[in-house]
Amino acid sequence: VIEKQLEQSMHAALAGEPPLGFDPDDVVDRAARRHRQRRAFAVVAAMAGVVGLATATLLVAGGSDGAPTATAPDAVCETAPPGAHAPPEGFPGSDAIVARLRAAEPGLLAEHVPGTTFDPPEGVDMGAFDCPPFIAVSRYVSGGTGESLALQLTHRRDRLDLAGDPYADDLFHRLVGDKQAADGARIRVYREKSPLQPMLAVVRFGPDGMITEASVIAADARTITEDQLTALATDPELRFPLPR
Amino acid sequence: MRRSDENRFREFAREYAVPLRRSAFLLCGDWHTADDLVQTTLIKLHDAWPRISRRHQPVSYARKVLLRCWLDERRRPWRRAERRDGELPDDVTTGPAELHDAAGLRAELLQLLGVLPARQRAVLVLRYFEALSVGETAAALGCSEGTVKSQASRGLAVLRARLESTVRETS
Repeated sequence: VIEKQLEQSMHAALAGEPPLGFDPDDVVDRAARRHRQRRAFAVVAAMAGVVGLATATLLVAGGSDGAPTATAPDAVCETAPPGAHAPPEGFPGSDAIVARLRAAEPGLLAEHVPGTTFDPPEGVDMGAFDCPPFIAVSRYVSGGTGESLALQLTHRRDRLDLAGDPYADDLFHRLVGDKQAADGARIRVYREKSPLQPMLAVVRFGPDGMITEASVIAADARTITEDQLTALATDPELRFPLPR
Repeated sequence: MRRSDENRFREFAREYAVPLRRSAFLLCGDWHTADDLVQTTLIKLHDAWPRISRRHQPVSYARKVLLRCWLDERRRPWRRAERRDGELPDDVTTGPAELHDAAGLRAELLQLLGVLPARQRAVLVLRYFEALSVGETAAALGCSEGTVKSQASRGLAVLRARLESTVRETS
């Protein structure tokens, strides 16, 4: 009897419920924006290695002609203007960086994640965004394992920026590793708190302001290891110079 | 996320935002927190959507995530500091008579549910509001069917005792 009473009371108690306090479409847009942002962070990080050589070249060239190479303001701009559904696309020099990364990416993945083949997602598989400058790469593991690899490279303007940690305020992830690398970078490892979504991310915070994130979300079993993600996140080819 | 996945997720969010909020309300007892919980749930679901939409029942998965979000929410220091004395954070105070009745019933129900430990409350909401089977409830909570049965039994016993006590006091 109490079961029936409880069931009826629960349904009756919802009579006159207020309207939803949010618009589901807005939430989806926000989630998509957050997702793109995080992926972009990871991509930028992975790309930093690929772009490393080009970056060094550009920096040397910039230094030699007296032009400032790091003139960007210290302030962090919004990732997207109010009302926009995505951050502005591209930043100065991003086309060339994306082209270099696109050429280098197969070799990088083969080197650091050997024996695994990847498929690009439908739509944009590699994109550059501004505010802050970042590049995102998204790949699915071939063969239906349900794994999704993201590389995100973000430039935080010439300073090691732990405040730019994409997971710092994320309640869903747990910091499981944090160490100082010989080159002055910090390497952090995050896992999803909930077992519902097996996820692993390695984030390198470079002394030059580059944040390189390599992450994998798996359906059930993850085949990509922490060591492989670390190798990607720390590969100097997955970095890029500060855009001028 | 593929565009087709994104569209399916959008449809899912539109269709299930209200049902999920109802469950959230019965869990947390506050419409504003229920709104927050559902938004957090949808944002969390978004990242996993390509995977869960192909390999799981999205609603079941959403329910699990909502439960986790609610339990996380309860662990926040400011939540722990709140008094759990059955006081309602918000309710309908004006309007048609039936809304007053619903408000009274809601207050009574939330007071009753409020005395239960989180897991017992979750079991009762899943079993008697969502009408899930023992097995489905166990899967949603990540526990055994035996635990669901014992938690439901204890929860119902507490509610029964409370109701009897209320009846005695009013008669």
